[in-house]
Amino acid sequence: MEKNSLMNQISVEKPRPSSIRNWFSQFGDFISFSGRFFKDCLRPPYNHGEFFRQCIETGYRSLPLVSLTGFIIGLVLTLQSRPSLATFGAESLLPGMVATSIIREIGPVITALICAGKIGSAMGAELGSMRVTEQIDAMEVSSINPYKYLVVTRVWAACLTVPALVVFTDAIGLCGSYVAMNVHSHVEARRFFSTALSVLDFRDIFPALIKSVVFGFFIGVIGCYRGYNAKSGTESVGRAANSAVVSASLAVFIVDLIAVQITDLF
Amino acid sequence: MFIEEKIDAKKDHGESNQVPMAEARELCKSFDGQQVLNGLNLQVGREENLVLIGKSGAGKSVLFKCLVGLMRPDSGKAWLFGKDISSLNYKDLNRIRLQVGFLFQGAALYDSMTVGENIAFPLRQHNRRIRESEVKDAVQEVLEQVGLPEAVNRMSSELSGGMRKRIGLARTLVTHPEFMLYDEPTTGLDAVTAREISELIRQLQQEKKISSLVITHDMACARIVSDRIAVLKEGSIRAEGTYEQLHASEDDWVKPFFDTSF
Ligand SMILES: Nc1ncnc2c1ncn2[C@@H]1O[C@H](COP(=O)(O)OP(=O)(O)OP(=O)(O)O)[C@@H](O)[C@H]1O
Ligand SMILES: [Mg+2]
Repeated sequence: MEKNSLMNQISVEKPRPSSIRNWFSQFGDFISFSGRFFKDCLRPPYNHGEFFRQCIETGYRSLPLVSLTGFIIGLVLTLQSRPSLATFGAESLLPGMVATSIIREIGPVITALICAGKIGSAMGAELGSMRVTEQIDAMEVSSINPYKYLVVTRVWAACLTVPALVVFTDAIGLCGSYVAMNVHSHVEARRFFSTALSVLDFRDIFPALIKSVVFGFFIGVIGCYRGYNAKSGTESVGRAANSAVVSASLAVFIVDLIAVQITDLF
Repeated sequence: MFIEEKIDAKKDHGESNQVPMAEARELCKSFDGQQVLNGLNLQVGREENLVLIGKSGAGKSVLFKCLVGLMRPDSGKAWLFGKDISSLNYKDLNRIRLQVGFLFQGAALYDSMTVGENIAFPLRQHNRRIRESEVKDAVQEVLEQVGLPEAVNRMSSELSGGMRKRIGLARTLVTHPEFMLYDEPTTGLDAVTAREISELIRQLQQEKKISSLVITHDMACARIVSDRIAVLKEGSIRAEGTYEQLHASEDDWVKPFFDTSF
């Protein structure tokens, strides 16, 4: 009896053609939502005040979290790579290797994932509750373009603060690595940083920065999209925040995958 | 006064007195098979206050949203100042909306701002060069109209329901609209304040020639405010008349609205 009803539930949950169509129409919606950003992003009037507020909100308030994570990542990466390099007697390569992996890949991706969690969910929840309590409608009827005021400022802020946070995480990560180096032997700070940075060139740093801007864009635009299109009812605010985090994290990995293909071309 | 574009808009649709402020023709709207509006016809004349009553869930708020273009009706048309709003582009629609004030049922205050910032927000957005002293005076004026001059620096998230309603009202009044849509302006207010707000709506109509469409469940408010009352039932207007006419009505379903004896 129990089993039977469970089976029934499962068969109801099966994806039907309509839900696939639903997914595609939502994807189309998302494309036009993000397209609107490029149409509106440079057109006056500008909302400086809201933009700076969002920069503080997204950038400054994420600093403690990303610096702690960056430090731990640098530390752990160094401690764990050390033994395998030591078996080849290649410990002197350690600073360069850690710096390359942090700056090219781990720094941007970890920071973006943290931002997807922190910024994406905040945007989803804030805009979602503004939608549910009709604040977005209120802007609309008083002839204020809510997309420009709320979405454009937030996406700009995310595009700017995420790369800044990435640079910051990279720096803190290297400090973490330096601390880890000193666990086993004494290494002079100047020597550590000069060897770490000497292996880096333009092709390591520049694509990582561009990639971070794209991460920021997707985190901002997905968070705003989920919140902006929340349905009525309070539980949809939670759902908007939740789906913002999930989709934004997924987007980070997809962008990363595409970015690595593009950088390989050069 | 504060809004430059407004003057053009006025020129656009002329000053003719024949055009009704707002009009709905054969409006239909349904949500997942539930028919909410069903061929609704309504007209609000110049300098007229029309009160809309109807049971909870009858579709009054939906009608308001269709009138200002927040919701698209399934069929039928909505006019504001003689313009079919479904035929307007975004820019022209916004020009029309500048002259319409909308008080939301839930007030819809911007939670991240203080009361003063809430009220100043439409002013600052529509006139970037406005001086701070002008903003301050305008904010103070409308706050006094709604009887909350001391609330200016409080966060809007920490206000009581009735206060939120009044701040919402102040925020719509600050741009000097010509036509107001009030969604339950007196709900959640004590009898004294409710009366003051009703009288304010009346006074705005008489002194500033702001006509309005008012949703209310408060018959005392309806009596003070209305020139005419329309009753919404099953998706369309089923009865219309002055307060006295409807009060004397013998209809089984109109009567209970006016029956205060229970
Ligand atoms: N966005 C929406 N999605 C789905 N259904 C909706 C939506 N908005 C309103 N409805 C439905 O339309 C009907 C009318 O709602 P409306 O808010 O207009 O009622 P109302 O007459 O204003 O009631 P009240 O006096 O309680 O405010 C309700 O049954 C509601 O469930
Ligand atoms: Mg309502």
